[in-house]
Amino acid sequence: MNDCIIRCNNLTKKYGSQLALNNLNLELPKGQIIGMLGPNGSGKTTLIKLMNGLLTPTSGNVFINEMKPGPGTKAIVSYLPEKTHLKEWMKVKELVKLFADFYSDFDVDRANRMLTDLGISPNAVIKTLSKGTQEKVQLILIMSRRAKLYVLDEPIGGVDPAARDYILNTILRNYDPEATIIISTHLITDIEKILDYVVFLQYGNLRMAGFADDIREQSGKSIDMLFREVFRC
Amino acid sequence: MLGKLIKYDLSSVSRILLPLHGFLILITLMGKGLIMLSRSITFPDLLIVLMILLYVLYAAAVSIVTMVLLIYSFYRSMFSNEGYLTFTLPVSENSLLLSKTIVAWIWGTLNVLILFGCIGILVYQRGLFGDIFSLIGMAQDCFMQEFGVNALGRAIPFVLLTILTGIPMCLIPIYMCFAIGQLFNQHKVAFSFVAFFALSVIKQILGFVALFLLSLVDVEEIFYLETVEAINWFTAYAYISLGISILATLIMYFVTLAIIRKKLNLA
Repeated sequence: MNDCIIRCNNLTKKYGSQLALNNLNLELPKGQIIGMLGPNGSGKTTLIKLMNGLLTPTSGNVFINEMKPGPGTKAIVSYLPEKTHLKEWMKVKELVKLFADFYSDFDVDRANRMLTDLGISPNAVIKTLSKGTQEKVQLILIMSRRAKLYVLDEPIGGVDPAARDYILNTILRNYDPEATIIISTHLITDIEKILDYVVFLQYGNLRMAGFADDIREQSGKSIDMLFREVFRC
Repeated sequence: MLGKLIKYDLSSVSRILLPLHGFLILITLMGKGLIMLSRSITFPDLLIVLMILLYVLYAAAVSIVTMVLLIYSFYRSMFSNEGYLTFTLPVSENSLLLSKTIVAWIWGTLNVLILFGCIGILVYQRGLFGDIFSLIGMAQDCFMQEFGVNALGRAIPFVLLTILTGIPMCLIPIYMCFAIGQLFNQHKVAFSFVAFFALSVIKQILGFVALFLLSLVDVEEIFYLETVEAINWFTAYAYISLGISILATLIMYFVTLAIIRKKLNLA
Protein backbone atom coordinates (compact mmCIF):
# COMPACT_ATOMS: atom_id res chain seq x y z
CA MET A 1 0.00 0.00 0.00
CA ASN A 2 1.39 3.36 -0.99
CA ASP A 3 1.87 5.68 1.99
CA CYS A 4 2.83 8.60 -0.15
CA ILE A 5 0.30 11.36 -1.00
CA ILE A 6 2.61 13.51 -3.12
CA ARG A 7 5.40 12.27 -5.34
CA CYS A 8 7.65 14.55 -7.42
CA ASN A 9 9.94 12.95 -10.01
CA ASN A 10 12.67 15.21 -11.39
CA LEU A 11 10.23 18.09 -11.26
CA THR A 12 11.50 21.26 -12.89
CA LYS A 13 9.73 24.54 -13.59
CA LYS A 14 11.24 27.47 -15.39
CA TYR A 15 9.73 30.89 -16.05
CA GLY A 16 11.69 31.85 -19.14
CA SER A 17 15.30 31.62 -18.02
CA GLN A 18 14.41 31.82 -14.34
CA LEU A 19 14.55 28.48 -12.53
CA ALA A 20 11.74 28.19 -9.98
CA LEU A 21 12.06 24.46 -9.21
CA ASN A 22 15.19 22.49 -9.97
CA ASN A 23 14.90 18.75 -10.58
CA LEU A 24 12.90 18.14 -7.41
CA ASN A 25 12.55 14.59 -6.12
CA LEU A 26 10.29 14.41 -3.13
CA GLU A 27 7.79 12.08 -1.47
CA LEU A 28 5.37 13.36 1.14
CA PRO A 29 3.72 10.90 3.53
CA LYS A 30 -0.02 10.57 4.03
CA GLY A 31 -1.86 11.55 7.18
CA GLN A 32 0.67 14.17 8.33
CA ILE A 33 0.66 17.92 8.88
CA ILE A 34 3.49 18.97 6.59
CA GLY A 35 5.21 22.32 6.72
CA MET A 36 6.60 23.49 3.40
CA LEU A 37 9.12 26.04 4.55
CA GLY A 38 11.43 28.40 2.79
CA PRO A 39 12.12 32.08 2.24
CA ASN A 40 10.34 34.11 -0.41
CA GLY A 41 11.19 32.88 -3.88
CA SER A 42 12.19 29.38 -2.75
CA GLY A 43 9.61 27.66 -4.99
CA LYS A 44 6.90 26.81 -2.45
CA THR A 45 4.04 28.44 -4.34
CA THR A 46 5.31 27.11 -7.66
CA LEU A 47 5.32 23.56 -6.28
CA ILE A 48 1.84 24.03 -4.85
CA LYS A 49 0.47 25.37 -8.13
CA LEU A 50 2.00 22.44 -9.99
CA MET A 51 0.27 20.05 -7.57
CA ASN A 52 -3.04 21.76 -8.30
CA GLY A 53 -2.66 21.80 -12.07
CA LEU A 54 -2.45 25.60 -12.26
CA LEU A 55 0.98 25.37 -13.86
CA THR A 56 2.51 22.75 -16.14
CA PRO A 57 6.00 21.42 -15.42
CA THR A 58 8.90 22.29 -17.71
CA SER A 59 10.00 18.70 -17.16
CA GLY A 60 9.35 15.89 -14.72
CA ASN A 61 6.12 14.93 -13.02
CA VAL A 62 4.09 15.44 -9.90
CA PHE A 63 1.59 12.85 -8.70
CA ILE A 64 -1.15 13.27 -6.13
CA ASN A 65 -2.23 9.91 -4.73
CA GLU A 66 -0.55 8.35 -7.79
CA MET A 67 -2.63 10.48 -10.18
CA LYS A 68 -1.49 13.33 -12.40
CA PRO A 69 -3.24 16.65 -11.65
CA GLY A 70 -6.71 16.62 -13.21
CA PRO A 71 -10.39 16.35 -12.28
CA GLY A 72 -9.62 13.21 -10.23
CA THR A 73 -7.06 14.95 -8.02
CA LYS A 74 -9.09 18.15 -7.79
CA ALA A 75 -11.94 16.14 -6.29
CA ILE A 76 -9.70 15.07 -3.37
CA VAL A 77 -7.52 18.18 -2.93
CA SER A 78 -8.78 21.25 -1.06
CA TYR A 79 -6.60 24.22 -1.99
CA LEU A 80 -6.30 27.58 -0.29
CA PRO A 81 -4.33 29.94 -2.53
CA GLU A 82 -2.31 32.85 -1.24
CA LYS A 83 -4.61 35.36 -2.91
CA THR A 84 -8.36 35.64 -2.57
CA HIS A 85 -9.87 33.86 -5.52
CA LEU A 86 -13.56 33.98 -4.78
CA LYS A 87 -16.11 35.42 -7.17
CA GLU A 88 -16.43 38.92 -5.71
CA TRP A 89 -19.96 39.52 -6.99
CA MET A 90 -21.36 36.48 -5.20
CA LYS A 91 -22.89 36.36 -1.75
CA VAL A 92 -21.33 34.14 0.91
CA LYS A 93 -24.29 31.73 0.81
CA GLU A 94 -24.02 31.48 -2.99
CA LEU A 95 -20.38 30.46 -2.66
CA VAL A 96 -21.34 27.84 -0.08
CA LYS A 97 -23.90 26.54 -2.61
CA LEU A 98 -21.26 26.54 -5.37
CA PHE A 99 -18.83 24.51 -3.29
CA ALA A 100 -21.62 22.10 -2.30
CA ASP A 101 -22.59 21.72 -5.97
CA PHE A 102 -19.12 20.85 -7.21
CA TYR A 103 -17.51 19.04 -4.28
CA SER A 104 -19.24 15.90 -3.02
CA ASP A 105 -17.14 16.06 0.16
CA PHE A 106 -18.31 19.57 1.11
CA ASP A 107 -20.03 19.83 4.50
CA VAL A 108 -22.61 22.64 4.30
CA ASP A 109 -23.50 22.46 8.00
CA ARG A 110 -19.88 22.81 9.03
CA ALA A 111 -19.45 25.82 6.75
CA ASN A 112 -22.58 27.54 8.10
CA ARG A 113 -21.50 26.81 11.66
CA MET A 114 -18.11 28.44 11.12
CA LEU A 115 -19.69 31.44 9.39
CA THR A 116 -22.01 31.89 12.37
CA ASP A 117 -19.09 31.56 14.82
CA LEU A 118 -17.31 34.38 13.02
CA GLY A 119 -20.39 36.54 12.67
CA ILE A 120 -20.19 36.56 8.87
CA SER A 121 -23.57 37.14 7.27
CA PRO A 122 -24.44 34.59 4.56
CA ASN A 123 -26.08 37.42 2.63
CA ALA A 124 -22.93 39.54 2.55
CA VAL A 125 -21.48 40.14 -0.92
CA ILE A 126 -17.83 39.12 -1.03
CA LYS A 127 -16.52 42.42 -2.39
CA THR A 128 -18.13 44.33 0.50
CA LEU A 129 -16.14 42.32 3.07
CA SER A 130 -12.74 43.38 4.39
CA LYS A 131 -9.66 41.55 3.07
CA GLY A 132 -9.26 39.67 6.34
CA THR A 133 -12.89 38.56 6.36
CA GLN A 134 -12.65 37.45 2.72
CA GLU A 135 -9.66 35.32 3.66
CA LYS A 136 -11.63 33.82 6.52
CA VAL A 137 -14.54 32.99 4.21
CA GLN A 138 -12.08 31.37 1.83
CA LEU A 139 -10.55 29.34 4.66
CA ILE A 140 -13.99 28.25 5.89
CA LEU A 141 -14.93 27.00 2.42
CA ILE A 142 -11.67 25.07 2.07
CA MET A 143 -11.77 23.53 5.54
CA SER A 144 -15.44 22.54 5.20
CA ARG A 145 -14.44 19.90 2.69
CA ARG A 146 -13.58 16.39 3.84
CA ALA A 147 -10.65 16.20 1.46
CA LYS A 148 -7.76 13.71 1.39
CA LEU A 149 -5.26 16.54 0.97
CA TYR A 150 -5.47 20.15 2.13
CA VAL A 151 -2.96 22.52 0.56
CA LEU A 152 -2.78 25.88 2.29
CA ASP A 153 -0.50 28.50 0.72
CA GLU A 154 0.51 31.13 3.28
CA PRO A 155 -2.75 30.83 5.25
CA ILE A 156 -1.53 33.13 8.04
CA GLY A 157 0.77 35.44 6.12
CA GLY A 158 -1.48 38.45 5.71
CA VAL A 159 -3.51 38.41 8.93
CA ASP A 160 -3.05 39.73 12.47
CA PRO A 161 -1.74 37.46 15.29
CA ALA A 162 -5.19 36.91 16.80
CA ALA A 163 -6.57 35.83 13.43
CA ARG A 164 -3.55 33.55 12.97
CA ASP A 165 -4.48 31.62 16.11
CA TYR A 166 -8.06 31.35 14.93
CA ILE A 167 -6.97 30.07 11.53
CA LEU A 168 -4.62 27.48 12.99
CA ASN A 169 -7.27 26.29 15.44
CA THR A 170 -9.82 26.10 12.60
CA ILE A 171 -7.42 23.99 10.58
CA LEU A 172 -6.76 21.62 13.46
CA ARG A 173 -10.39 21.32 14.56
CA ASN A 174 -11.83 20.64 11.15
CA TYR A 175 -9.49 18.48 9.18
CA ASP A 176 -9.90 14.72 8.90
CA PRO A 177 -7.09 13.11 10.95
CA GLU A 178 -6.52 10.62 8.13
CA ALA A 179 -6.06 13.44 5.66
CA THR A 180 -2.81 15.25 4.89
CA ILE A 181 -2.32 18.98 5.31
CA ILE A 182 0.44 20.89 3.55
CA ILE A 183 1.01 24.36 4.99
CA SER A 184 3.34 26.61 3.06
CA THR A 185 4.68 29.49 5.12
CA HIS A 186 7.68 31.48 6.19
CA LEU A 187 6.18 32.16 9.65
CA ILE A 188 7.64 29.08 11.33
CA THR A 189 7.19 30.07 14.97
CA ASP A 190 3.42 30.13 14.71
CA ILE A 191 3.03 26.69 13.15
CA GLU A 192 6.02 24.71 14.41
CA LYS A 193 4.08 23.15 17.27
CA ILE A 194 1.56 21.50 14.94
CA LEU A 195 3.94 20.17 12.28
CA ASP A 196 4.61 16.44 11.90
CA TYR A 197 6.82 16.66 8.80
CA VAL A 198 8.84 19.49 7.31
CA VAL A 199 10.26 20.28 3.89
CA PHE A 200 12.83 23.04 3.41
CA LEU A 201 13.09 24.60 -0.06
CA GLN A 202 15.68 27.12 -1.20
CA TYR A 203 16.15 28.59 -4.70
CA GLY A 204 13.96 25.80 -6.10
CA ASN A 205 16.03 23.05 -4.52
CA LEU A 206 15.20 20.65 -1.72
CA ARG A 207 17.41 21.44 1.27
CA MET A 208 15.91 19.10 3.80
CA ALA A 209 12.87 16.86 4.35
CA GLY A 210 11.92 14.71 7.29
CA PHE A 211 9.77 14.22 10.36
CA ALA A 212 9.84 17.26 12.64
CA ASP A 213 10.69 15.29 15.77
CA ASP A 214 13.59 13.50 14.04
CA ILE A 215 14.96 16.79 12.75
CA ARG A 216 14.73 18.42 16.17
CA GLU A 217 16.42 15.42 17.79
CA GLN A 218 19.24 15.22 15.25
CA SER A 219 19.95 18.94 15.16
CA GLY A 220 19.21 19.71 18.79
CA LYS A 221 17.36 22.81 17.65
CA SER A 222 13.78 23.89 17.05
CA ILE A 223 12.58 23.99 13.44
CA ASP A 224 12.45 27.78 13.66
CA MET A 225 16.08 28.02 14.81
CA LEU A 226 17.17 25.54 12.16
CA PHE A 227 15.30 27.55 9.52
CA ARG A 228 17.09 30.74 10.54
CA GLU A 229 20.42 28.92 10.43
CA VAL A 230 19.82 27.21 7.06
CA PHE A 231 18.43 30.32 5.38
CA ARG A 232 20.68 32.90 7.00
CA CYS A 233 21.12 35.89 4.66
CA MET B 1 -20.98 18.91 -14.09
CA LEU B 2 -21.38 20.77 -17.41
CA GLY B 3 -24.90 21.75 -16.40
CA LYS B 4 -23.66 23.19 -13.11
CA LEU B 5 -20.91 25.13 -14.86
CA ILE B 6 -23.44 26.57 -17.31
CA LYS B 7 -25.70 27.54 -14.40
CA TYR B 8 -22.97 29.55 -12.66
CA ASP B 9 -21.51 31.03 -15.85
CA LEU B 10 -25.01 32.10 -16.88
CA SER B 11 -25.73 33.75 -13.54
CA SER B 12 -22.40 35.56 -13.73
CA VAL B 13 -23.41 37.48 -16.88
CA SER B 14 -27.20 37.43 -16.53
CA ARG B 15 -27.09 39.66 -13.43
CA ILE B 16 -25.97 42.49 -15.74
CA LEU B 17 -27.48 41.51 -19.10
CA LEU B 18 -30.99 40.73 -17.86
CA PRO B 19 -31.65 44.24 -16.48
CA LEU B 20 -30.03 45.84 -19.57
CA HIS B 21 -32.22 43.89 -21.98
CA GLY B 22 -35.22 44.25 -19.72
CA PHE B 23 -34.86 48.02 -19.86
CA LEU B 24 -34.52 47.84 -23.65
CA ILE B 25 -37.83 45.98 -23.87
CA LEU B 26 -39.41 48.48 -21.48
CA ILE B 27 -38.38 51.55 -23.50
CA THR B 28 -39.45 49.74 -26.68
CA LEU B 29 -42.94 49.30 -25.26
CA MET B 30 -42.95 52.93 -24.11
CA GLY B 31 -41.82 53.96 -27.58
CA LYS B 32 -44.60 51.94 -29.14
CA GLY B 33 -47.04 53.69 -26.84
CA LEU B 34 -45.73 57.07 -27.97
CA ILE B 35 -45.99 56.04 -31.65
CA MET B 36 -49.62 55.13 -31.18
CA LEU B 37 -50.20 58.36 -29.23
CA SER B 38 -48.62 60.36 -32.04
CA ARG B 39 -51.63 59.55 -34.20
CA SER B 40 -53.69 61.91 -32.06
CA ILE B 41 -51.01 64.19 -30.58
CA THR B 42 -48.34 66.03 -32.56
CA PHE B 43 -44.89 65.88 -31.00
CA PRO B 44 -42.17 68.40 -31.86
CA ASP B 45 -39.85 67.07 -34.58
CA LEU B 46 -36.77 67.71 -32.46
CA LEU B 47 -38.18 65.62 -29.61
CA ILE B 48 -38.96 62.75 -31.98
CA VAL B 49 -35.47 62.83 -33.47
CA LEU B 50 -33.89 62.97 -30.02
CA MET B 51 -35.93 60.02 -28.75
CA ILE B 52 -35.11 57.93 -31.81
CA LEU B 53 -31.43 58.79 -31.49
CA LEU B 54 -31.32 57.90 -27.78
CA TYR B 55 -33.17 54.66 -28.42
CA VAL B 56 -30.83 53.61 -31.23
CA LEU B 57 -27.78 54.53 -29.12
CA TYR B 58 -29.07 52.54 -26.18
CA ALA B 59 -29.89 49.50 -28.34
CA ALA B 60 -26.41 49.66 -29.90
CA ALA B 61 -24.83 50.06 -26.46
CA VAL B 62 -26.67 46.97 -25.17
CA SER B 63 -25.27 44.89 -28.03
CA ILE B 64 -21.75 46.20 -27.49
CA VAL B 65 -21.93 45.68 -23.73
CA THR B 66 -23.20 42.13 -24.29
CA MET B 67 -20.20 41.19 -26.42
CA VAL B 68 -17.69 43.00 -24.21
CA LEU B 69 -19.12 41.42 -21.06
CA LEU B 70 -19.03 37.91 -22.56
CA ILE B 71 -15.38 38.43 -23.51
CA TYR B 72 -14.43 40.00 -20.15
CA SER B 73 -16.29 37.33 -18.21
CA PHE B 74 -14.31 34.61 -20.00
CA TYR B 75 -11.00 36.30 -19.24
CA ARG B 76 -11.83 37.06 -15.62
CA SER B 77 -13.10 33.55 -14.91
CA MET B 78 -10.20 31.76 -16.58
CA PHE B 79 -7.09 33.88 -16.34
CA SER B 80 -7.49 36.33 -13.44
CA ASN B 81 -7.50 35.47 -9.69
CA GLU B 82 -10.86 33.75 -10.25
CA GLY B 83 -8.96 31.25 -12.39
CA TYR B 84 -7.63 29.73 -9.16
CA LEU B 85 -11.21 28.76 -8.32
CA THR B 86 -12.18 27.83 -11.89
CA PHE B 87 -9.23 25.53 -12.54
CA THR B 88 -9.40 23.78 -9.16
CA LEU B 89 -13.00 22.68 -9.70
CA PRO B 90 -13.17 18.91 -10.33
CA VAL B 91 -14.21 19.28 -13.98
CA SER B 92 -12.41 18.79 -17.27
CA GLU B 93 -10.93 21.72 -19.18
CA ASN B 94 -13.27 20.89 -22.07
CA SER B 95 -16.28 21.33 -19.79
CA LEU B 96 -14.97 24.72 -18.64
CA LEU B 97 -14.46 25.94 -22.20
CA LEU B 98 -17.68 24.44 -23.53
CA SER B 99 -19.70 26.00 -20.72
CA LYS B 100 -18.44 29.47 -21.51
CA THR B 101 -19.00 28.97 -25.24
CA ILE B 102 -22.57 27.78 -24.67
CA VAL B 103 -23.37 30.69 -22.33
CA ALA B 104 -21.90 33.16 -24.82
CA TRP B 105 -24.02 31.59 -27.57
CA ILE B 106 -27.16 31.82 -25.42
CA TRP B 107 -26.74 35.49 -24.60
CA GLY B 108 -25.35 36.47 -28.02
CA THR B 109 -28.37 34.89 -29.70
CA LEU B 110 -30.80 36.32 -27.13
CA ASN B 111 -29.37 39.78 -27.76
CA VAL B 112 -30.00 39.48 -31.50
CA LEU B 113 -33.48 38.02 -31.04
CA ILE B 114 -34.47 40.72 -28.53
CA LEU B 115 -33.17 43.46 -30.84
CA PHE B 116 -35.14 42.11 -33.79
CA GLY B 117 -38.14 41.62 -31.54
CA CYS B 118 -37.96 45.23 -30.38
CA ILE B 119 -37.74 46.48 -33.96
CA GLY B 120 -40.72 44.28 -34.78
CA ILE B 121 -42.71 45.78 -31.89
CA LEU B 122 -41.94 49.34 -33.02
CA VAL B 123 -42.80 48.84 -36.71
CA TYR B 124 -45.71 46.46 -36.23
CA GLN B 125 -49.05 47.36 -37.71
CA ARG B 126 -52.10 45.19 -38.16
CA GLY B 127 -51.64 42.90 -41.08
CA LEU B 128 -47.87 43.49 -41.28
CA PHE B 129 -46.84 39.89 -40.70
CA GLY B 130 -49.51 38.70 -43.11
CA ASP B 131 -48.08 41.05 -45.76
CA ILE B 132 -44.52 39.89 -45.09
CA PHE B 133 -45.41 36.21 -45.30
CA SER B 134 -47.39 36.69 -48.46
CA LEU B 135 -44.49 38.64 -49.99
CA ILE B 136 -42.11 35.81 -49.10
CA GLY B 137 -44.57 33.34 -50.54
CA MET B 138 -44.78 35.33 -53.77
CA ALA B 139 -41.00 35.50 -54.08
CA GLN B 140 -40.76 31.76 -53.45
CA ASP B 141 -43.38 31.03 -56.15
CA CYS B 142 -41.62 33.40 -58.53
CA PHE B 143 -38.24 31.68 -58.06
CA MET B 144 -39.84 28.29 -58.48
CA GLN B 145 -41.70 29.20 -61.68
CA GLU B 146 -38.89 31.15 -63.33
CA PHE B 147 -35.81 29.14 -62.30
CA GLY B 148 -37.09 25.92 -60.75
CA VAL B 149 -35.18 26.84 -57.58
CA ASN B 150 -36.51 26.33 -54.04
CA ALA B 151 -35.19 29.63 -52.67
CA LEU B 152 -36.47 29.17 -49.12
CA GLY B 153 -35.20 25.60 -49.06
CA ARG B 154 -31.70 26.89 -49.76
CA ALA B 155 -31.79 30.09 -47.72
CA ILE B 156 -33.32 28.80 -44.47
CA PRO B 157 -30.66 26.17 -43.68
CA PHE B 158 -27.94 28.72 -44.46
CA VAL B 159 -29.51 31.35 -42.20
CA LEU B 160 -30.05 28.83 -39.38
CA LEU B 161 -26.47 27.59 -39.63
CA THR B 162 -25.18 31.16 -39.58
CA ILE B 163 -27.27 31.95 -36.47
CA LEU B 164 -26.05 28.76 -34.79
CA THR B 165 -22.39 29.39 -35.46
CA GLY B 166 -22.17 33.19 -35.65
CA ILE B 167 -21.46 33.90 -31.99
CA PRO B 168 -18.86 31.10 -31.53
CA MET B 169 -17.17 32.23 -34.76
CA CYS B 170 -16.79 35.71 -33.25
CA LEU B 171 -15.74 34.71 -29.75
CA ILE B 172 -13.64 31.55 -30.03
CA PRO B 173 -10.80 33.34 -31.86
CA ILE B 174 -10.73 35.82 -28.97
CA TYR B 175 -10.66 32.98 -26.43
CA MET B 176 -7.74 31.49 -28.31
CA CYS B 177 -5.88 34.81 -28.23
CA PHE B 178 -6.36 35.02 -24.43
CA ALA B 179 -5.07 31.45 -24.10
CA ILE B 180 -2.00 32.33 -26.18
CA GLY B 181 -1.44 35.50 -24.13
CA GLN B 182 -1.40 33.59 -20.84
CA LEU B 183 1.52 31.49 -22.10
CA PHE B 184 3.78 34.44 -21.44
CA ASN B 185 5.06 35.23 -17.97
CA GLN B 186 4.50 38.96 -18.21
CA HIS B 187 2.26 41.36 -20.13
CA LYS B 188 -0.23 38.57 -20.78
CA VAL B 189 -3.03 40.88 -21.97
CA ALA B 190 -0.65 42.74 -24.29
CA PHE B 191 0.43 39.45 -25.86
CA SER B 192 -3.24 38.50 -26.25
CA PHE B 193 -3.68 41.63 -28.36
CA VAL B 194 -0.56 40.73 -30.35
CA ALA B 195 -2.03 37.27 -30.98
CA PHE B 196 -5.30 38.85 -32.11
CA PHE B 197 -3.45 41.14 -34.49
CA ALA B 198 -1.43 38.20 -35.85
CA LEU B 199 -4.63 36.20 -36.35
CA SER B 200 -6.18 39.11 -38.26
CA VAL B 201 -3.12 39.28 -40.52
CA ILE B 202 -3.31 35.51 -41.14
CA LYS B 203 -7.01 35.84 -42.03
CA GLN B 204 -6.19 38.64 -44.48
CA ILE B 205 -3.45 36.55 -46.11
CA LEU B 206 -5.77 33.54 -46.41
CA GLY B 207 -8.43 35.84 -47.86
CA PHE B 208 -5.99 37.02 -50.54
CA VAL B 209 -5.05 33.41 -51.30
CA ALA B 210 -8.74 32.55 -51.67
CA LEU B 211 -9.27 35.53 -53.98
CA PHE B 212 -6.27 34.46 -56.04
CA LEU B 213 -7.65 30.94 -56.37
CA LEU B 214 -11.02 32.43 -57.31
CA SER B 215 -9.35 34.53 -60.01
CA LEU B 216 -8.22 31.28 -61.65
CA VAL B 217 -11.91 30.51 -62.23
CA ASP B 218 -13.41 32.40 -65.14
CA VAL B 219 -15.90 34.36 -63.05
CA GLU B 220 -17.25 36.17 -66.10
CA GLU B 221 -18.35 32.83 -67.44
CA ILE B 222 -20.61 32.43 -64.42
CA PHE B 223 -22.62 35.44 -65.47
CA TYR B 224 -23.21 33.86 -68.85
CA LEU B 225 -24.45 30.67 -67.28
CA GLU B 226 -28.11 29.87 -67.15
CA THR B 227 -29.51 31.65 -64.11
CA VAL B 228 -30.19 28.37 -62.34
CA GLU B 229 -26.58 27.28 -62.72
CA ALA B 230 -25.35 30.67 -61.51
CA ILE B 231 -27.61 30.43 -58.47
CA ASN B 232 -26.27 26.93 -57.81
CA TRP B 233 -22.71 28.23 -58.10
CA PHE B 234 -23.23 31.06 -55.65
CA THR B 235 -25.15 28.82 -53.25
CA ALA B 236 -22.26 26.35 -53.24
CA TYR B 237 -19.79 29.21 -52.73
CA ALA B 238 -21.78 30.52 -49.75
CA TYR B 239 -22.01 27.10 -48.11
CA ILE B 240 -18.34 26.30 -48.73
CA SER B 241 -17.29 29.67 -47.24
CA LEU B 242 -19.43 29.04 -44.19
CA GLY B 243 -18.06 25.51 -43.89
CA ILE B 244 -14.49 26.79 -43.98
CA SER B 245 -15.30 29.37 -41.28
CA ILE B 246 -16.87 26.69 -39.10
CA LEU B 247 -13.88 24.40 -39.58
CA ALA B 248 -11.47 27.21 -38.70
CA THR B 249 -13.50 27.97 -35.56
CA LEU B 250 -13.40 24.31 -34.52
CA ILE B 251 -9.62 24.25 -35.00
CA MET B 252 -9.27 27.36 -32.84
CA TYR B 253 -11.49 25.80 -30.16
CA PHE B 254 -9.24 22.75 -29.97
CA VAL B 255 -6.09 24.88 -29.98
CA THR B 256 -7.52 26.82 -27.01
CA LEU B 257 -8.36 23.57 -25.26
CA ALA B 258 -4.89 22.14 -25.86
CA ILE B 259 -3.25 25.26 -24.43
CA ILE B 260 -5.29 25.28 -21.22
CA ARG B 261 -4.87 21.54 -20.84
CA LYS B 262 -1.14 21.31 -21.41
CA LYS B 263 0.27 24.82 -21.00
CA LEU B 264 -1.75 26.51 -18.28
CA ASN B 265 0.34 29.24 -16.67
CA LEU B 266 -1.78 31.05 -14.09
CA ALA B 267 0.07 34.00 -12.58
